[in-house]
Amino acid sequence: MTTPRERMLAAIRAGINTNRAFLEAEMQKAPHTPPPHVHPPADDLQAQFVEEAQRAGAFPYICADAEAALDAIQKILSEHGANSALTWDFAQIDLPGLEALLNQMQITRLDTTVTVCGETQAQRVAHLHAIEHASVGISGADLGIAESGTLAVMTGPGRGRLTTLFAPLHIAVLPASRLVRGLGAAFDALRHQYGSDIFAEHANLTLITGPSRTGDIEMTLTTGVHGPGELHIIVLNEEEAA
Amino acid sequence: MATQMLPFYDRVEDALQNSTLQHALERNMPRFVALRAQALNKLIDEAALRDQARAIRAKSLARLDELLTRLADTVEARGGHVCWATDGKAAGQYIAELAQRQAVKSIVKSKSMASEEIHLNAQLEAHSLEVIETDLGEYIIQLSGETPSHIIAPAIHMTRQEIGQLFQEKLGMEPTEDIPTMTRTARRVLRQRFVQADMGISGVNFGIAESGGMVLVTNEGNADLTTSVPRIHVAIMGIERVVESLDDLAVMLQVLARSATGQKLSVYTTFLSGPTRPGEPDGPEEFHLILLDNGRSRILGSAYAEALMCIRCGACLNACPVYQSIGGHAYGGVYSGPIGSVISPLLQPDVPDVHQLPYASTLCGACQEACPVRIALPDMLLRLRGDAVQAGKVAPGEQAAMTAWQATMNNPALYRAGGTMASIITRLVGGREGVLKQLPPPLAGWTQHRDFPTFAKQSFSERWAAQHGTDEEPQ
Repeated sequence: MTTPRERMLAAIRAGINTNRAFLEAEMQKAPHTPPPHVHPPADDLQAQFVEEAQRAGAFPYICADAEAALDAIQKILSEHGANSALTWDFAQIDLPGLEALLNQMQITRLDTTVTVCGETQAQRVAHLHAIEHASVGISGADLGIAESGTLAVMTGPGRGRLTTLFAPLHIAVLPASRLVRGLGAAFDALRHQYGSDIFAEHANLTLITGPSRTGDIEMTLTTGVHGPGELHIIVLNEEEAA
Repeated sequence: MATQMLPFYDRVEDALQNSTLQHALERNMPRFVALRAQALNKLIDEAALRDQARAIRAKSLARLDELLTRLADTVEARGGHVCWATDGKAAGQYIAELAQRQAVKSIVKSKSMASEEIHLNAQLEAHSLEVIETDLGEYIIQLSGETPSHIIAPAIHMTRQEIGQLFQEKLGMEPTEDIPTMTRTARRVLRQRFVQADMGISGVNFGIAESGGMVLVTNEGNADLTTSVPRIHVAIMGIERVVESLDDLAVMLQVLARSATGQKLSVYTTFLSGPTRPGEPDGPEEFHLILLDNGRSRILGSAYAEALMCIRCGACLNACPVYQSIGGHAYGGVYSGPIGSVISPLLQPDVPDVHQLPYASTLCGACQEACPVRIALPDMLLRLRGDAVQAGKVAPGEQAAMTAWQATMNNPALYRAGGTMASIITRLVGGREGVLKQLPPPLAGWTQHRDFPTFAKQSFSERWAAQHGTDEEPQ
C-alpha cells in the first residue's frame, strides 16, 4: 500500500518527465533573482513613502522626534475619542513615552492574550469578546517600503497579530531608519534582521498597504470592511532615543 | 445555481439578456483594464519582470515534486500537519474528520478558488458543519445562494439595490442604498462569526518551500482574521502554487496585485509559517495544510502544463472581449474567462458542455497579452477545440460543414461560384440597407445578436482583375 503522498509525488514526477524539456527551457529564459525595487528610484525615501502611503489611503506623519510623535498620537487618539487600546509590549514599539501618554489620557490597555494552550473554546471566545470593542491598536513596524507605502510587520511574543487588525483604528510607529526602497530590498533587510529563514523563530509576517478595503459592491472603494478603516503611520526620525 | 446546469449556449443567452449584468460589465471591465495598464506602465521594466515571473513559475513546475516535499517537511517541522489530497473528496473528508475530532461547530472561510473547485462548502455542510464565507463579495453571493462571477470580484454582477435588499432580508439591515452602511453591517455580523468560529479555512496564494510559509493576499483583511482568530487554521492549496523561496515571491508579488487590481501590493499580504509559536499572544493552536491535486498532476503531464503557471489574478478575464460580454456565470464552472475555458475542461469535467468553453474565444490574443506570466492561452484554446473534435464532441452538421468548406477552399472555381452566389442572394435579401437581420438555419445563430453585412457587388478577385487588367490570380 502506498501513501497518498507517495501516489501524488509519483504522478507529479510522471507529469514532469513528460514536459521536462519545455519546463526547463522556460525556467532558464530569465534570471530568478528579484530586483530590489521596480519603480525608478526616488531621491527622498521618506517623501516617497509618504506619497505612496497616502495613495494607498493611509495617513503618514513625519515626526522629527519622540515628542512630536507623541503629540501626533495624542491628537489622533483624542479625535477618535479612544478609551481602550490593544498594544504591543511597549519595549517592542520604538517610542519612549507612549505608555505614559496612554496612562495620562486614561486609555485602558486591554490584554491581547488570546491563545492560551489548553484553554477551552469558550475561554478563547471570552478573551476575544473582551477585546472586540477596543478603540485602537498601536504597534511598531519592522520596515517601511517606500515605493508602495507598505509596512512590514513581524509578529511574535509581545507583538500580537490582532493589534494591527482588530480595532477600527491602527497606529503604527515606524523608525525612519527602517525605510527601504522596494519589496526585494525589504526581504533582504528582513533576512539581515531575522536570519536567512525569517520564519525560523516567527510564524507571521504581514505587509500592510493602506487600510482594510473592499470594492466588492459595485466596485466602489469602501474602507474598514474587516480590518482597521484608518491606518496612521508615525514616521519617527529620532534614532532609538531611549 | 440553476442557470449553470443549462447548456452552454443557453447560459450565454441568459447572460446577454441580463441587463443588470450587462450594465455591470460595461461599467467595470474597462476600469479593471485601465488600472492594470497604468500600474504596469509605471514599472522600470515591465517586460523583464514578467519574463522573470514566467521563468519562476516554470521552475516551480519543473521541480514540483522536490518543492512540495520540502514545503510539507518544513510545515511538519514547524508543528503543522499536512494532508496530501489526491482529489476533492479526500480534502473534504480530511477537514470533516478533523472538525469532528475537534468538536468544531462553526467555520469561517476566506476566499479560495481551490475550495470552490471541489465544492468544499457543500461537502462540509453535508456533515452538519456551518461554513461562513468572509470575503464581502463571497459572503454576498453565499447569502443569495449564487456562485462567484469573477475570480477577484465575485459579486460584480449584482447592483447595490439587490445587495441592499438581500441584507435587509437576511441580516435585518434598515433599508438603504448606502454602500458604507452595507459594508459596516457586514463587518458587524461577520466579526461575531469570527469570534465564535472554531476553525478558519483559507486558500493559499503561494506556498514557500524553503520556509513552510503560506502567503495569503487580500484587501479586506478577512484572511488575516480567518487565520489568526479561530484556534484551528486549515489552508487549502493547489499543488501548483508552490514557490521555492522568498526571493521568488519578491518577483511574483510585484506582478500579482498590479495585474489583478492595479495596486502595487494588495492591502494585506500575509505570511504564515505553522501554528502560533511559544510565547505568542495570539494565532492558531493548530495548523493543517491540504495539498490538493484533483487533476493537476495530470495537467502537468499533458499538452496544457503551462496553464498551471496561472496565479489567479483575473487579468485575462478582464481583457477578454467574450468575458466582457457574458461575464463569469455563463462559463458554468468556478473558473471563467480564457483561463477558465482552458482549465475547467481539465479540473471540472462535470460542468455541462465544458468542451464548448474553448469556443468562447475570438482567439484575439488579448488574454496572453494581459497574462503576467504570458500563458499561451489562445494556442491552448485552439488545441482544446481540436481535442473536442477528436473526441467526437462536435455540433450536428459541423463535420459536414467543415468538409464542404475544405472542398470549396481547395477548388478556386467552386470558391468563385460560391462567392458569386452569396453576393447575389445576400444583396437581394439585404436590399438597400446592406445588412441581413436574419440568416436562415443553420446560420441563424450568427444573426441572433448582430446583423450580417451583405457581400460586395464585386469580389476581390474581380476587382483585382479589373484594376490590373489581367485575369491573373492575386498571390
